[in-house]
Amino acid sequence: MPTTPDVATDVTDTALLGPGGIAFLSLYLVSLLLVGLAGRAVRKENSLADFFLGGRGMGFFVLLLTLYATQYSGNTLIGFAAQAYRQGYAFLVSVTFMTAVIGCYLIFAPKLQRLSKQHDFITPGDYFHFRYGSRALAVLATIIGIIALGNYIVTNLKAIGTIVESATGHQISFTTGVIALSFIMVVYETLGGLRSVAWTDVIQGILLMVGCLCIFGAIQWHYGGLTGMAEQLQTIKPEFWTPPTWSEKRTWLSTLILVFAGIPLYPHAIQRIYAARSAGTLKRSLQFMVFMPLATTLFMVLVGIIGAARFPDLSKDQSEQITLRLLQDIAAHIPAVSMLIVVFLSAAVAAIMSTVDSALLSIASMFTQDLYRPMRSRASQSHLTRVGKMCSWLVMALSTLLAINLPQTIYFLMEIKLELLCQIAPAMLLGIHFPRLRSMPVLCGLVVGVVFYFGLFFTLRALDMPRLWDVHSGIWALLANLATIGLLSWLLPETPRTSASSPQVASN
Amino acid sequence: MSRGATTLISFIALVLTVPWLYTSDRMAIWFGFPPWAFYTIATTVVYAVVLNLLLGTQWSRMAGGDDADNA
Repeated sequence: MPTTPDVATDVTDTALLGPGGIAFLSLYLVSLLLVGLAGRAVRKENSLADFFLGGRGMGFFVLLLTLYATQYSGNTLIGFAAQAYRQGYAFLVSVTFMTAVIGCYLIFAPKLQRLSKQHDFITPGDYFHFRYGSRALAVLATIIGIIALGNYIVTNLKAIGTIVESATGHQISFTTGVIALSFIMVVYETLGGLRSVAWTDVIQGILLMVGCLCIFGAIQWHYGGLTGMAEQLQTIKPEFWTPPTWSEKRTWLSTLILVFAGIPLYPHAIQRIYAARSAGTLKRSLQFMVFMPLATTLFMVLVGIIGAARFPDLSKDQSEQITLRLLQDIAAHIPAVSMLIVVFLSAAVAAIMSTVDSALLSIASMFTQDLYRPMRSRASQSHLTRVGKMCSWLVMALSTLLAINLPQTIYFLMEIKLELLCQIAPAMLLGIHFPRLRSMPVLCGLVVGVVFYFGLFFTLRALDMPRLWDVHSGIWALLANLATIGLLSWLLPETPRTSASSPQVASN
Repeated sequence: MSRGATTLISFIALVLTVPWLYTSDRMAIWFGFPPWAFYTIATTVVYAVVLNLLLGTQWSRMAGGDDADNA
């Protein structure tokens, strides 16, 4: 039952939420603060492990939903549909790469979870220090993690400000939206630490899952599904039917490897491995998680493709709101569907908040455990926890400031996340299964990888080239990183490890 | 199955999801998709099933310890 496209309507000019929608969203935000209070009430001890890892007692249901809500950000709901609108079926690569994240966990999570229980790891840096006995390697990995997560927070805060501004028809400004939601996040995070963050992730994960299912279901039903749209798409967008060229296939594989080696190395993702109650809990959660891209990412990609058939001539900026356009189009015929717009916006806000709060907590833990604690080895657990909380407030204040004021000329630096983060992958993936691998080659490999990445990144930018031979700069840097590890492991003589150089990790 | 074999199988399954062999512009429709897109979805489902099975059966071997903590 398609009707005439209404591409002239700019969804940003009118309030997307009525009083009922704003009340629903407000109720959701208040519930987050209550969850924060509940998390504080059930605190078992004032320690780093309790605050940053929820006492290492996360069961299947909470672990699954916190993994889900953390891995799928607001970008899944908004960005993926928009990318699919522009790229067509080629963006199905996103379904595979979100599955590949679990493929990477298969390689290192089982052993890392076991080691984290035995040696009380709190941060990824704890593992690197334990495994390699190198403070320099642990600190460098920590700094890379903090940069990647910091960029993640800033870009997500910008997105949340834009959503609030659009949803309220500019009644709440971008700045007010960013400040208010940042404040709520940092309050419930510092009240209950990971326990509060994980519990709010349960609410946010359910909202995200329900949002994706309902939106996809409504759009499928109203527009007759992909089968009904296929012939129309062949006429309007014949280029969608063209298979990727060889250069596009290289980029496809490069993207898969980049995400495979990048996303699982996010510090907040690794800390969820540490927070699992048992190996069995983590195993079952990952077995379930492996199918989530088929029920989340695939749905949003198909929404974008249906949008391309329905509204074929949108600009890049307009296509960013393709899901909203489709929902508004349906709501114009079936007013009850307007409720789905509330669900969509709430799910988008929830998805972003669940990602930002986890990243914030992770940065605070890394600063406290990996950077501050080695300088104050006699500090008590309660002092360290207090430092972690203060760090959360400072990081959030700085991120909010950057999200509001960052000049567009250097905003591209915020895009640097995965390509930098995947340079840690060899230290983790090789280190966990190759006991003879030593710290010096790994440290040199990491330094070479990072320097190589930035060198190539700025060179290609100066030459206005997106990629070298259609492969991401991060993958070239990863190859340089691996080559350095291989070469130095071969060249440097193996020295027996003495008891003095045995890796140690502080007991938590 | 060794840890190396587990890693290799999962990686091969990942690489096979890229529609390497599709090169021509066939305008056929398979369940609402271009053939190469349908191939990608189908192989991604297979990849997910493979990972699910490997997680279920190879966990303790990948953990490098006994199965005691799986309980």
